[in-house]
Amino acid sequence: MFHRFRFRFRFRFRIGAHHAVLLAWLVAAGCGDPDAPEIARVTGTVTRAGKPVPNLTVNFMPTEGRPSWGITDEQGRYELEYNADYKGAKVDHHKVYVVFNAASLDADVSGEVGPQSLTAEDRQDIQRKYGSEQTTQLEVDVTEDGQVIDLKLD
Amino acid sequence: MHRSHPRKAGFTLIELLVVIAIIGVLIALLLPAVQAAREAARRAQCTNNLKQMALASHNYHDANGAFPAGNYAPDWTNPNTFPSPDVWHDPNSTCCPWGSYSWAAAILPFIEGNNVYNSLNIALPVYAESIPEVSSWAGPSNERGPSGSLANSTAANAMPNTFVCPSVDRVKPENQFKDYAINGGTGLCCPERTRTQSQRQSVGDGMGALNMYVKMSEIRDGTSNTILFTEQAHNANHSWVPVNMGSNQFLWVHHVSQGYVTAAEHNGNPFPPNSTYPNSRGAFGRHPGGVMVAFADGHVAFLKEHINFQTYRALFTRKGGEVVSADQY
Repeated sequence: MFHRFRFRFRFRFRIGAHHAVLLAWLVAAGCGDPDAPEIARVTGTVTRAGKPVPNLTVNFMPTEGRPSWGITDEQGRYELEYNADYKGAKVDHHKVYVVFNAASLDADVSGEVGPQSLTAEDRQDIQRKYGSEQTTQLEVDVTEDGQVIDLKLD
Repeated sequence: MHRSHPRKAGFTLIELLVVIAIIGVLIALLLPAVQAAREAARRAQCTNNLKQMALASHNYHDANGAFPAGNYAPDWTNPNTFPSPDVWHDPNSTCCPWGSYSWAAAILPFIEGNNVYNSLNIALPVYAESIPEVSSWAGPSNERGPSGSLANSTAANAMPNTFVCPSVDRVKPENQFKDYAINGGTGLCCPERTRTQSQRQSVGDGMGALNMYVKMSEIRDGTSNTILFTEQAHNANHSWVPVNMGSNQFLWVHHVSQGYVTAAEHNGNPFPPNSTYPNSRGAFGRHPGGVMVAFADGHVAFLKEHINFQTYRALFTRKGGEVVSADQY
């Protein structure tokens, strides 16, 4: 009886270890989106004249594909988001343009933007140079996972 | 026969555990498949709802010579407007309509909603019990309702379930909040408040805007290349309404997140399908991987989240002149 017990135990363990690897691989493969392009995580800091720019929406528009967005925090840091499943941006050449966020609905109606550390002049300059998908002077390549892309809006 | 080794009947503990483990693995394999089949059925119903709305819009076109307006309101700058111009615009600003009628009211007679339609008094503003909004106008309660004309409360609380997508978890009553929206164009400001013809010329590049009635002949990009309706789950991110708070009332329109979707915000932020952007006014469904849309010719398609954004935006214009082929989406 003792002998049988040990034999079974070892048998089960070996099968278990073998299948655990297979199962982990299947689960990993099953959770991924088969239609998804190659996506790389991207973070960075947005500055103007060395100072961080908070509460700014950063849009990464790839040459072909789905755009990603990020909003800068108090230190001007952003992290791109692709969709509900993926952080980051498509591996591609991107046009980068920025949008100052309205603070609220009433500010949106009157055209005001949220609290900023920048002067109105700085904001207009950023808006003119980097504020639209068509005219932005900022273009970057997203190539590898974990990439840091610091944006200098000078 | 003589038994030298009487074997005891029953299982060992190990055997029992093995059986439980095998059953566990089998259930674990089966469960996702069952859930996927249930989601597929819900998506099929969602597709059917969009088809019904598109067909109803075609019947509306047959009867009235144009597709329904995105929303309807009389001119609130005209002092002679009945009952008074003030009830038709936002109490805080003359910028925006208040209690105007969405496209959903217009197509009611064509989707067996005649009784609901007949209970509306269209000379008075529409009614909404709950109008969530995060703004200083709403205050700390984040709620601007109830508002509108009580005479229309019966209809406002009797939404047919054609406007409900079963994949969406309800955070608001399913007799008052819909999960679909009309194509409000590429995102110039703002389809729900285009009071003048000149505003409609530029802003109304989609299929819906305030008091804008698009004729079939005005869809120059082709009806099969122009989105008419999309999903817009009531518990999605909306403009000034965060996720899981709920917007998109059955009949009520005072702001763009009520019954409209656009391809981008007026300041340029793009809204690809199922965008997670906090102030999104874009198409949003609760199906994994994409969003259902009905085109102006009546066909319904599933657009993947990974769709090329230039293609996606082209589908929102009715006369943008872009070249789009069916294999691009």
